[in-house]
Amino acid sequence: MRDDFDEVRENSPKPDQAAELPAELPELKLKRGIPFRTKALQTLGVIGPAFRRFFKKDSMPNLVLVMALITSITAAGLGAVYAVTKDTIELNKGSALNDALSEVLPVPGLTFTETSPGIYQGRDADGGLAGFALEIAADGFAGKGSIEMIVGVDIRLQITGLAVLSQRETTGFANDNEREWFISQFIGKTGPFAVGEGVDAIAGATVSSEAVAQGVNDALGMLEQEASE
Amino acid sequence: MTNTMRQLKNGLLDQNPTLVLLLGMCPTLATSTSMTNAAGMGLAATAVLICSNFAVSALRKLIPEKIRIAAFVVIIAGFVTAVDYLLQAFAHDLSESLGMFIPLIVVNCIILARAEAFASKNGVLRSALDGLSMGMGFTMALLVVSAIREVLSAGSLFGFRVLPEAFPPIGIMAQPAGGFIVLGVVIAVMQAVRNRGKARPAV
Amino acid sequence: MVQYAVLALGGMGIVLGFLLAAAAKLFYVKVDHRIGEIEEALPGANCGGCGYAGCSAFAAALAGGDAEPNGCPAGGSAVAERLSSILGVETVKNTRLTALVRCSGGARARNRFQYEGIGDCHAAMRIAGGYKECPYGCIGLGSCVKSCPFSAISVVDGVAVVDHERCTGCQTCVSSCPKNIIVPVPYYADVNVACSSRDRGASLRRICDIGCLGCRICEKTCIHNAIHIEDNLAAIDFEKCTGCGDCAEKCPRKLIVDAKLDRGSRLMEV
Repeated sequence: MRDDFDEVRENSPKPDQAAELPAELPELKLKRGIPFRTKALQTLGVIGPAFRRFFKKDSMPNLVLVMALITSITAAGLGAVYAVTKDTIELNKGSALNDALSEVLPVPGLTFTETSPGIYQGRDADGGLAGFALEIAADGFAGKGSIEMIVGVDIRLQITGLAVLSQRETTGFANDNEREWFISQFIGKTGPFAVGEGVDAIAGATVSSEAVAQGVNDALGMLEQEASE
Repeated sequence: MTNTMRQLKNGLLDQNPTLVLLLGMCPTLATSTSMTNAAGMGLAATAVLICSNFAVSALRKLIPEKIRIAAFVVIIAGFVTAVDYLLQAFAHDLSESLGMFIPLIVVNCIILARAEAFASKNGVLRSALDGLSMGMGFTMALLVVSAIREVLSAGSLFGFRVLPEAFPPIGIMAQPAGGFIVLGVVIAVMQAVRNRGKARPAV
Repeated sequence: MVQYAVLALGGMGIVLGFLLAAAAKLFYVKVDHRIGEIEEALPGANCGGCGYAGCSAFAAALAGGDAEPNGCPAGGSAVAERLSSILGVETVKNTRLTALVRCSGGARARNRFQYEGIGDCHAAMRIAGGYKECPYGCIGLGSCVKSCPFSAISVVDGVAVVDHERCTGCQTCVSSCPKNIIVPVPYYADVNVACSSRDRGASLRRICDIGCLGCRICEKTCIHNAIHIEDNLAAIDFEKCTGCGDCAEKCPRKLIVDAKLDRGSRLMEV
């Protein structure tokens, strides 16, 4: 009886007939050696204990490694935080600057233009010069340039106002009320100013007070230099 | 009382860092002139405490004994700097009025002491909880002292006038001397409350 | 930007790591690890009963071989055992001592004058030697009470009394008494003479209701030859005393203290 396999039987090579092999055998590429994953694990298995032996707890390499890791990771983290907050801080400083400029030259309707680095001229609607505002960084208690302030000077070289943009001084200086009366000693007068002669320092913030006085003197000096050029 | 509650109570009362352990006196005296400053300092220190306790506890098995303190200080300094940037960005006025006392949080004894005494020997969650309770205790002490000082020296609380204008402000309360006096009195009251009911040695 | 921060701080970290490692090697101090264990086992009262300046000093001496494991009287036999096991030696029990105030006067002893001054025995002594008629008696203002690190002394009826259960034998009170009438006695001594007066009976009667007259009744009663009158004062030789309590029974002044009557024989506990 004929079944499905008859065709196969008829077409397949008979036992005494060699199968027709192609003339050229394709080269079979055998994968030599050990698979990568195993090799990786093997290496780790060797390096691991060696690593542990070299970086044994309390050994010098281990100390150096841990210190380096902790400092680097902390630095990286801080870099990230800084990057995130940088713009907002600049924004704060910027708006603080604008507020300060208007505060020290309390004449309404002024526009400020920066004519030289740190020196702003305030002109009113008619273009008349109302006064100047100068950016000064005084050397306070916390270090060089630690008190950033804006000094307002009118055309008669009298101080019209002083605004502190940022400082890291002692709490005596940070107190707004204290600063108010301290600054009031400068208003309406012209330089040079010195703590002890006509200007009283804030209690507990002598260095900061002297720095501000010096800063105002520097501002006036800057203006005079500007004018003479 | 559950363990968690007990640990919270620990930082607030039994081992209040400022009033019982007498740690972190410098920022206490300096920032307790007004309640807003006190609250700001307390919250900043609490944030740093929780984070640094968490980090120190997580790394406690990896940090070798010999560089323990150096490692702790680096971690704490990192967190304080981060908090400093955040305050400068989002709470500029507070940052100004606290001034250089924010960087000084790095060397606030409370934080290093808790890292050394607790976080380096306990699990992560426990340490974070300890940081929270110690921070709250510190904040509470700050608020109490600053309330007294602000009322007496400026007649206000959180900047809002609470005493009549006629009340003469007691200037010394805003000075360090007044701060010491108020702090001393608060500590004495705290001790009396803690020791009530304890038997005194017979005389 | 971040790279600079990482490099700078990481570099500092590496340098500091080297520095710390070098310092650790340079300033290495070999610490006997047993000292920590010993310090943990000690009571930590810093009473000085061991003869050293506090528990840490004793621990250091013990680890260095200069002290005995049973050298802490405040710790008692429990601590002695623990210390012996830390050092790996056999336990030698120490003789437990307690303090005795050699005076029973107080309210029963007359005052020369009314004293209103600083409530301290040393201060009272400055005023003509104290306000008590008896020159040997307890002043009762409590200098010893303040000095006891274990709160084991109290003033009862004007005279200091030691709670022998709380007393650890550290002997801090001994040096705090300006009259030097507190003495160390063995804990297991049941019978004690609580008087220090060398005054003759006739004059003593007038100034104190309970002091020792030197009548010798106890000396004659004692069959162990353990109690003698020296200088008008009865003294017990604890080597011979068996704690029978006969002298206490016969004492006409009811001066001799028999502790057995209070809480059972202590000869059972050593």
